[in-house]
Amino acid sequence: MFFLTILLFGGMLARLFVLQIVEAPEYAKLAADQRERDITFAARRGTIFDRGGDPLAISVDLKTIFADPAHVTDALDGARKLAGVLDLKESELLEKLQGSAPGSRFEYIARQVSPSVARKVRQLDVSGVYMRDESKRYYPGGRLASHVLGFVNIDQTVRAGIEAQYQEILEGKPGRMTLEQDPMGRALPQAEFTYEPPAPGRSLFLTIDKELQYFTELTLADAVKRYSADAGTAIVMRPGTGEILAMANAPDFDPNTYSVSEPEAQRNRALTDMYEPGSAFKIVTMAAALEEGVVTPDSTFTVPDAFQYYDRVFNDSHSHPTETMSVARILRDSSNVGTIKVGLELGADKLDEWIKRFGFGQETGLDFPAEAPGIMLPRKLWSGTTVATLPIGQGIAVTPMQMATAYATVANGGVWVEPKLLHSTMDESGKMHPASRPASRRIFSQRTARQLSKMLQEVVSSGTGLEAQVPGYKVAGKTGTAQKPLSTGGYGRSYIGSFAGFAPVKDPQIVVLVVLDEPKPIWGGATAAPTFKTIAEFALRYLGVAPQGNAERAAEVIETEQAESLPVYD
Amino acid sequence: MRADGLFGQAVDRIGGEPISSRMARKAPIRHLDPSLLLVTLVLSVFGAVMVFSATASKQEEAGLDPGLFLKRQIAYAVGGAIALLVFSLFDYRHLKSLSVVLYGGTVATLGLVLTGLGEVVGGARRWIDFGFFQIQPSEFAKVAVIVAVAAFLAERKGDIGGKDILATLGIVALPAVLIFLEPDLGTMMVFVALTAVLLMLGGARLRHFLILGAVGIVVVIGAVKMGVIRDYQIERVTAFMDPNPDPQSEGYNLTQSKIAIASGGLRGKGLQADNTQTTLDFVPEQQTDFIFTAVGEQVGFLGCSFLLGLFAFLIWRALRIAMMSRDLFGTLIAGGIAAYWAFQVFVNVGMTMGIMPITGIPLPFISFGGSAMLTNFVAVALLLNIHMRRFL
Repeated sequence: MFFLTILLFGGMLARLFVLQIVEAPEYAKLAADQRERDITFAARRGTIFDRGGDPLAISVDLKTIFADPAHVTDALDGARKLAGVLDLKESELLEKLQGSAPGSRFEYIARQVSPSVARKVRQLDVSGVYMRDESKRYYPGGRLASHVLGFVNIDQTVRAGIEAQYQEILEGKPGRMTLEQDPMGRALPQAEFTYEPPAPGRSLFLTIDKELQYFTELTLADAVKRYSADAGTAIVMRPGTGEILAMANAPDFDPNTYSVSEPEAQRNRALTDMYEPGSAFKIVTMAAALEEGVVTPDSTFTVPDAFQYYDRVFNDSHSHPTETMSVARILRDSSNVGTIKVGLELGADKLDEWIKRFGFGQETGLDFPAEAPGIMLPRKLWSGTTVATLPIGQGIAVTPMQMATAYATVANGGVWVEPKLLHSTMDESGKMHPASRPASRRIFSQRTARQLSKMLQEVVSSGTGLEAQVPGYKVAGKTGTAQKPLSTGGYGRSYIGSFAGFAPVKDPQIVVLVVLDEPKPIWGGATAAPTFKTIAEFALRYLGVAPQGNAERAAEVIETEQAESLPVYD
Repeated sequence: MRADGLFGQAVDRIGGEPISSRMARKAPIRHLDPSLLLVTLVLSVFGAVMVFSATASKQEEAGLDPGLFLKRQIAYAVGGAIALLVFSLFDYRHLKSLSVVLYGGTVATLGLVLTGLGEVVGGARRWIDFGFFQIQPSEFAKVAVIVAVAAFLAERKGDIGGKDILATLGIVALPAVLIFLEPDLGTMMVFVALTAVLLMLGGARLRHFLILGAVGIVVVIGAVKMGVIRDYQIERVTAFMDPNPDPQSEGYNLTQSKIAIASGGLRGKGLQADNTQTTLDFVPEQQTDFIFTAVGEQVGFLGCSFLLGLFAFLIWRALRIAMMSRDLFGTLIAGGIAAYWAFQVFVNVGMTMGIMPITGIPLPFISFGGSAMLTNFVAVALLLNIHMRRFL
């Protein structure tokens, strides 16, 4: 008996020792875990400005009303009172005040209500109902630059566009409160309490110019309507710096009410949608052939209007007798057959290398989420006709952004510059930090760029791009009209019309790309080119680019007028 | 009177009156065991303080009298003191004849609990409500059964056979089954432990225990198979043996209980320290079955060791009295009481630390509760009684 008693007490003591001395720290942590409660407060989100400092996305401090069902003393009365102020059903409010689940300690009553509503709720003084600051994202321009800005949901967990790309900068640091609570979740009065105030997010300045963006959007929307197109994209960028001044898509949406808009309308097609570029892609073939020394602008080819290569017959868009064409003319008249012949001179391996050198088949590196890389067939998967289709922009899928960047390279004298949307950031003290310089690399010589520019200028002055002419400025550019590939393979009867170009040719200040999805008529030269003209004309004037080309003639006119008005002395 | 033992004989040989006779002439109070009284007092005070400490802040927060539980516990102790006086005044040997009445009354009351008179709390019918107070007959039954079995076995004078063992089992089984039906598996286990110790002291042989053990196993397996013992009861009893306890599944109570005890560390957080597991009510029913968690948290390893020391001393006194008793009846009662306390302390303290299953067994003298308090004081009274009258 004694022995058994000693054993029992020894056992208890041993267990006590283990629990209270050896394992104590482990259990202390367990205890802290169950008693400490973290509450986070979202910081006020940074503002997104355009390059001129006009706000595109701002955060407004509003009140969010919530309830702690454990503190609600009279749910029925509370629900009745609140229903009189808030636009909510009494039954709904009652459920929230009573707690939607057993043991619930937190129920949102209404989020982000206006200060006047918040004041009324405060006056009601319903027990267990509290409020706290919560900022609401507001896009003052509505649909303006909607695809670039993207959106952010109420909890900042669903994001798109720049809002997603620069979440870390915009979000700031959420405030944190740690408090000890009892088993009922009540905060303990004498308990340790830590509070870190939220640090507001930093603000961004985009390269986008609000005015230019607005005009581009209007013009694009008008073009989509005018040509009964399904959709469209327009990009305006600075060739030297890669800065995107405007990026518009149709259809668009209002980020203030993004949740009720079609997902189709939310897409930034300039970056997500791939299309076959068609003739606009011919600059790649030409740049490669010129730089490799395979041809000069004056080299000639015998060009029939139909040409069989491997198992396929290629046609020029307009029938013509077999004739001798210079390389410049091939581009000017957008001859498929001629371009294929240039491409064949270049050869498959060089062609493959040059397409990659232009950055096709990979993201441009623009600071934007979910950019599509396009589709570029690996060399070893090329079929017999691939070497003939690629020079004329078939059998490859590109994004509008890639295309605009390719034209910017020509405009930029052969230097490829990574496009960018971030101009600068502003820290808490208001100090500006310019965005890092974009990556750039020379991919062909200045000489090739000059030759190609001249050829592209001819396209506009006397080729397929007549409609793209801007009075007072010399414009270089190229049309594109490509059949849309069917999902089943092969091509259907719908087309993508596009025009890409830059101006002024001598010292390019802007690159503009317009892509229209299924316009009527189908021709890029008839639809995208005039749209290009409208945008480019406004952009050049808006940016204060001095007219050049026709200045001499303008002076002549003035002189003549003056001469006519002068008295004639004999 | 006889002069037992070498010492007695020695004294006799020296001459004069035999020592036992001289002792016997003095009033029994002269042979009191004051240390037993002292340890009872210290335990009761310790218990009252812990009950207060475990309840005051919760009561206060609820807008109730913070001293309510303390006052009641003191009242129970006072009642216990009166019972102690009553049960130590008369010669315990009178209980032999009274045991039948005592036993009969207990069984009848236990029967009453199971009728409509019983108060249902937490799904179990364990109390009888007398309006201003409630009694838990199963507590009284512990001492009543000890006395009844002791009376029966004492008659056999240490020479018992199979029949006597069966009879003993029958005496215990009647109240035990009634308690099992309440249901109160924990208290019933106390009876099993008691019976084993009483049989041992009463003269049962090893072979008897082997047979009983075998029968016991068969009965338990049968009970489980037939669903007499419910699944939750099996789970509760076996959960602590799980080698890989999952804090989520081992139950909220045990986790909170272990956290509370562990957080006490070496010295404890002090009585009524702010924001402890105890004052924040993380451990449910802390003033009753889980009182040891409050002890562990507030007075730490040192305080717990002191408390266990008090219990060890108490049980040692009980065992010592069992050995000193001048008759088998006294030995059996004292031994039974020692076993009763040792079992309750071990199971109760063990369950709060996760080494014994969680059952509704109170910690003697410490847990809040009138019936248990009264029973424990009666047990002390019987021990004092036996000790005082060891020469008569």
